[in-house]
Amino acid sequence: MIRDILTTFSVSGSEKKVRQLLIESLKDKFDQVCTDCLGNVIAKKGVSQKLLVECGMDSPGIMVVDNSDGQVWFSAFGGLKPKDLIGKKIIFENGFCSEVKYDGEKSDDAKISDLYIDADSTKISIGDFGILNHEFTEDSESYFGYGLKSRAGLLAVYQAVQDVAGDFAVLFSAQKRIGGKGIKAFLGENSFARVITVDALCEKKDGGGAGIVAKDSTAVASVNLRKALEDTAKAKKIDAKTVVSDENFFGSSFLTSGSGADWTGIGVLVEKTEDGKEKLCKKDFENSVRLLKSAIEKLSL
Amino acid sequence: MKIIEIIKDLTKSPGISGFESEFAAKVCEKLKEYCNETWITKTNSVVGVKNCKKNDAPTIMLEAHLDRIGLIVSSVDENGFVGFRALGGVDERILPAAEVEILGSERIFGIIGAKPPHLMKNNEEDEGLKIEDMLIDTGLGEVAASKISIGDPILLKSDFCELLNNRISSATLDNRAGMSVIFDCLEKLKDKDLPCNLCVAFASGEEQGLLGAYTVADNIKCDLAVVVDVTYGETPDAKVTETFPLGCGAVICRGPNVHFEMTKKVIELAKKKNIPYEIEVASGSTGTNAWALQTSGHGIPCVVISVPLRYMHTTVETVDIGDLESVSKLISEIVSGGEVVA
Repeated sequence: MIRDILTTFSVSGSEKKVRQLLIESLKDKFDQVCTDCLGNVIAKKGVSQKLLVECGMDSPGIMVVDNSDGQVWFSAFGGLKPKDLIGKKIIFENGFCSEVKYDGEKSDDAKISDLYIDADSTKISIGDFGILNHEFTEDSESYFGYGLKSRAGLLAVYQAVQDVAGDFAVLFSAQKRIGGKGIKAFLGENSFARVITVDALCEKKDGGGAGIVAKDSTAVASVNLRKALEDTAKAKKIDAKTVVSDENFFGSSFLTSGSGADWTGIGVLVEKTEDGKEKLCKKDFENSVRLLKSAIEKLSL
Repeated sequence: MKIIEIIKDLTKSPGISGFESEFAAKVCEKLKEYCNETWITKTNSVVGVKNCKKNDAPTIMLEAHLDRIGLIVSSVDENGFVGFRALGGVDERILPAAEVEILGSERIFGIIGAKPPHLMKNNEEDEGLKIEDMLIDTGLGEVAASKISIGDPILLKSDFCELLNNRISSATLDNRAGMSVIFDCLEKLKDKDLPCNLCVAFASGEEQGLLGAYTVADNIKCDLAVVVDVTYGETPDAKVTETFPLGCGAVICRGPNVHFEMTKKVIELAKKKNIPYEIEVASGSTGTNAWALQTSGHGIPCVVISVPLRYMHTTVETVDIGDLESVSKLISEIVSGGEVVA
């Protein structure tokens, strides 16, 4: 299942395959699993659901804008930059996979509009979505690949909520990588007293366990909820560290929803390796899963 | 209590953006003197309601944000040096050599040190220090990590002082100036029979993106929100067209973020009551909580009235007491007259 969660095609605006995967695998474990008009998956246990756990289910990607002369030209979204793409393999929804090319001399000068993929129009059409090929390798300590960052939160939440008891809801949000669209649509209709968002936390070096977010790029986390997570980690002897992060956990969206909510985040540490790959340390990942599980047990009742 | 005493008292409390709970409790207690009902929202905004007990009376909200800019601990190294990030738009130029207080499990005094100019290389001196390169020295050394935690808020220290010519200087006059004006107005209206219901909101999180303002009006239908904040005071190095002289009175904002007709009525009122004022134009957002309030709930028509303030987002913010009094008088007339919402 780890492989399925990490590699199933899902891009902001076209999350169909991962949505189906989540619905099928969670429907027997939750009291209710449903989707909304934007494509979010919402899973609920219990009756009151004072606690919401959120993670994104999409990846940043590209969209084809031109496919003349046997070359595919594209735009990028969700934060992908030229250096993230040059020389990397892109996989399209139909399974076609090819490398991103750049003919310039200095890759630092490259713009997205300079990049292309060799493919004829019988394989790829204008408007097709592509993502970084999420195939990964692993050793006894870590997973290595491209695009792990966008799935680390989803994988942690998926693992944590399998058998945990409590009264809570999980939002697997669609279109998170393009401004948290799924979150905003969901909050138009729903409000919660407490929210924990789970996402990747890019660090220069792995180790240190789970990340507990004291501040993200949008807001300071609710002090009481953050301290509850710190106390949980301590009580359960879970390796964790509090972080002030420049990543966007969409804290402000939750703090300003309805009458306001308590919010904090759990960060799954992902390290950028020297060859540009992303490394997900299994031990850090397990600590994030354990912390989330314990937090749900403690805070959802 | 004179307005200078009100503002002096308000500047004593930290209330750093994202860490407002203690200050919110103090403000809520003070607000109880003037309102029938008060509460603190989940995100530490303070709200009070004074009901005029008249059928179908309109409701006017007076709003000023209660949070201030500050810093947050982001790292503590093995030698005790403390790394930090900004909470709100801190002017990084004022940080080197600043005195701070880390508000963790105990209050710890520290200073923000900097590399001596003699040791700087190439363009380091010209480029200026970035916040991620600065460190706080508390003198604690390696035991710092046991007393200071990542996520602790940091206060930029400053003493309230009275300058010559009716001016005062302190950190956090943005927006304790606005708060003091509202409290002064409440004192003026305390025993008056009002033609409208009054809602007072001191919103949290303004410095981080107007966060608290989105939820303060969640259960209240307001016919007008008077947002009281600060605007740019004139200094010799700033454009005259973008600033307002200290002592000019209330600065009334015009633009799409405020209600056209109601703002016109406020300007008329200022003229009628001989309250000195200037007009500020904001072609987009006013940079105040009006941006959030205008679209919160079913939408609230807003008027923005500001106090000119010099040296915004530094520890020596400066205002003129006369301007505070002008703004206080104007909003008192808006509430007691009732014609703006008629």
